[in-house]
Amino acid sequence: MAEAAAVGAHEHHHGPQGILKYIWSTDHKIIAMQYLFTGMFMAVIGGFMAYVFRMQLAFPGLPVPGYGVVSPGEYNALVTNHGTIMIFWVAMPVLIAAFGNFLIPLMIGADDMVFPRINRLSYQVFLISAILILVSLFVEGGGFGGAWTAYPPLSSVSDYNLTKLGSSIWLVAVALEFVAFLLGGINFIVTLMNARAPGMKAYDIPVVVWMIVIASILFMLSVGPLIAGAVMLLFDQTLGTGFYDPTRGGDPILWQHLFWFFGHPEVYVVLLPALGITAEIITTFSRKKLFGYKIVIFTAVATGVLSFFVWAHHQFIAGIDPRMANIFTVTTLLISVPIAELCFVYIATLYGGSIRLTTPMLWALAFIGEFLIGGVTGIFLGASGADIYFHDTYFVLAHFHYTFFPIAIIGTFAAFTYWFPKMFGKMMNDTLGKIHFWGTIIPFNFIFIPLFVLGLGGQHRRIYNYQNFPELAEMQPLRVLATGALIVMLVFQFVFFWNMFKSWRSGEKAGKNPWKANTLEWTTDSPPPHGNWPADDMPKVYRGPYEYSVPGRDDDYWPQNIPG
Amino acid sequence: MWVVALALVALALLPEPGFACPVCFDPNDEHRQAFLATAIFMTVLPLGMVGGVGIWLRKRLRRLDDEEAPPEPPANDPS
Amino acid sequence: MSTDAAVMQFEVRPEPGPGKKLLPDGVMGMVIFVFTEVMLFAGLISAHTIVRSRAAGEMWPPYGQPRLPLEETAINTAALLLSAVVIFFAQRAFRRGVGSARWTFLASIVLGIFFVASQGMEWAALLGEGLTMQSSAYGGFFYLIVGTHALHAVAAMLGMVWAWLRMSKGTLTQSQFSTVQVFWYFVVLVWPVLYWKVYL
Ligand code: HEM
Ligand SMILES: [Cu+2]
Repeated sequence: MAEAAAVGAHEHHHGPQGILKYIWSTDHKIIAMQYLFTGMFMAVIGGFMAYVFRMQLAFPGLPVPGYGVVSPGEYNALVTNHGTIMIFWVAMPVLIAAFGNFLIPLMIGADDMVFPRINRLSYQVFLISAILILVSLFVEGGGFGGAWTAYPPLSSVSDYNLTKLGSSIWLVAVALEFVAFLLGGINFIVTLMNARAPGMKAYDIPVVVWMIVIASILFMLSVGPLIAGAVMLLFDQTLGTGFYDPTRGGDPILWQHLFWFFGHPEVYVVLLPALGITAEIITTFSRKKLFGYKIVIFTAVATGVLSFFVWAHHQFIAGIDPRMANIFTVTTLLISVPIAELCFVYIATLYGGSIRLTTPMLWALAFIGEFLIGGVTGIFLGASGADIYFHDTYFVLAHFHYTFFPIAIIGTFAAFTYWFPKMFGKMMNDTLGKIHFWGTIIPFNFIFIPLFVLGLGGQHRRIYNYQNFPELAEMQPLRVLATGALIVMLVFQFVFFWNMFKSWRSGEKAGKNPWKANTLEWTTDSPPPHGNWPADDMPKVYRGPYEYSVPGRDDDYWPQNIPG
Repeated sequence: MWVVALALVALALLPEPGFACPVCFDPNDEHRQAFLATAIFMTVLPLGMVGGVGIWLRKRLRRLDDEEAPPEPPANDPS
Repeated sequence: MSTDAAVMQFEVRPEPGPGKKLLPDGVMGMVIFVFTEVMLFAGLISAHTIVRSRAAGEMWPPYGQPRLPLEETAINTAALLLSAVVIFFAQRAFRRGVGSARWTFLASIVLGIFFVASQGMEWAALLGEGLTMQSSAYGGFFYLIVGTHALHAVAAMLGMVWAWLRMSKGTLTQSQFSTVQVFWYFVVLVWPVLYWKVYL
């Protein structure tokens, strides 16, 4: 029986066998795993970089255990590549590519993406880009050190950045990464449009799928100008053109224009999937219908639209016209409204539910709480007057870590612990999960609250050693505190890896639907077979995804595929 | 909606130029305007494209629905 | 509210039929890709506009740089636009299964190749006159923007030749044809804008 089904599912596609099956597969689940584990690997590297440069800031000049003495150039390369890697090689591949690939076909009841081979190509391009960015660290002159925003002329003139090869490879790697996500994004959007299970209408699609697809659309629409800018920058670096060179008729501010046009939508590209993940988890573990499903979707769309109107808030002191800055202040304040609204919607969903504080639920709740701090401090920065003081201080740095950390780390852990049973067929250990949770969340706040204080005290970003600034040197204890907390947090990550490994080897069997959730991915085996469901028994959809605790039903959940 | 629009217009028009302000004027005003114009252009273009396709797809969906099924009773929305 | 009534709140849906597609997968994917491409060109044009505005009051093209050949390019532009019209008729014929679709399609390909080839000759001439990517921001943008478009045109030509070969073998599907066609429309329609911004 099972064999027959497997044969049916395999009919349409004969993949390679053996180990090649895993690196040359077009199965969306395997590609998701590839993205996931590449992303985790890059996260470890990014985390190690953070450890090294935080140690330098806390104990300037002393050799860092496991690395050695950090030179100023290395320091710059480390912070630059930490930022680049965490955004483009961790947040995007894990949140969008890995979970998008894993969840979209499973949640909409499709057997795979509509373009499986493009999907595979997407990962391969991504892998090359990841290898390139790592290579760029070791070439002659060292890795690029001109900040993840790569403003010219520092990035375009090798006499200034002193990393001729490193900066070009860095740029090529980033550009390739965009290509990978373009290919992936097309796939996500078309799959959602064309491959939904029979009966799944627009408002029966799980929120996380909507969010990932809206994020992909945002990405596709905003990345073009940056690619244009990146090509120009690459030509400036390698061909000797003068697009960003004012002495030759070019314009350095132009880069900021093109970069931030992408840069701000990009932050919502990573935010929306994380918001979607929390929506799934919160409804499952409070056994309640999502409060205002349509409101959530429309709010996400509105956020997407607004996110195209705010990007100049990164340039308030770049010499832009203050009248233009005013307009962008207003739009920046406006965009916090839909975000706040979503947080309220989630809290309203929790209200009166029967809440189960499992590990994924803890992560989801922590996401809301911590992200709020990031959003609120964004409002300070959005006021163009206040930003004259805050710009490029640690206040900005703490702001965006309070947004990105919840998104990329907390959101990922939430999703990972929630879907782990589906991905690997085993339950994770809840006690270890909770130890890891608290061991991450508490140090996280101890890292970045001090950085807010330092930023308010006037501590500028991207400085190798603050001892040379008398009025900043005094605040050294705060820096040591932040570094210490970081080390504690990193140490607790071993608990996670141990838990993951142990659960995978010898965890309790998960069964199809361990959380008693409604969405379609829980109706197939864990882990799902190739083709996701038996080809002759694909799911059909009869209702929306959040019918929990429906009065008059014996079960407190009502899977989407059960008729009547 | 109107309040927002009004506020936007007011904020754009009310601030007086400060003469100590180094970035309020550009000897080359065309340059300042070019930034503004391209900002508007790049923002409106994607939204216009997606909006247009969205509307077109909705229409097409309606048409496909009409062709196939007899008109359904309006779905009562549980939320 | 009685329990029964609460359950009745939920619409009871009829057994769902097979899902339907708004557009074939390939066409849909291509449309989305074209959006990204439009934004790429929007970025290039914006960059050009901004850099050009810096030179306001000065000469554009800068002193000592060759003029761009307006008339020859106008003829190329006409050929390109004609090609889009021709492919439109090719598609109609192909949909009706008319045998001549192949030749109409070929005509549109030939027009496209004519465009690419004569643009290439124009580049060779301009390089000879001393307009290079490094010679000025003007030259840089010319080669950047027109070159990006040329790359797209070449890619489109390859796609169309592939489609034509399949059409000859009789294995080309309607949606494959439309996918290629959408991309060609994009390449054609973005060109007049570039002509206007870069040449005029
Ligand atoms: C509630 C909405 C938000 C507001 C109002 C807001 C506002 C701002 C402002 C005004 C700045 C510029 C500060 C400066 O450079 O002086 C900024 C920087 C930044 N924000 Fe936000 N933000 C918000 C949400 C987010 C989210 C969701 C993310 C990430 C996912 C994010 C990531 C960043 C990053 C990375 C930077 C710094 C970029 C850099 O200069 O390196 N922000 N934010
Ligand atoms: Cu921003």
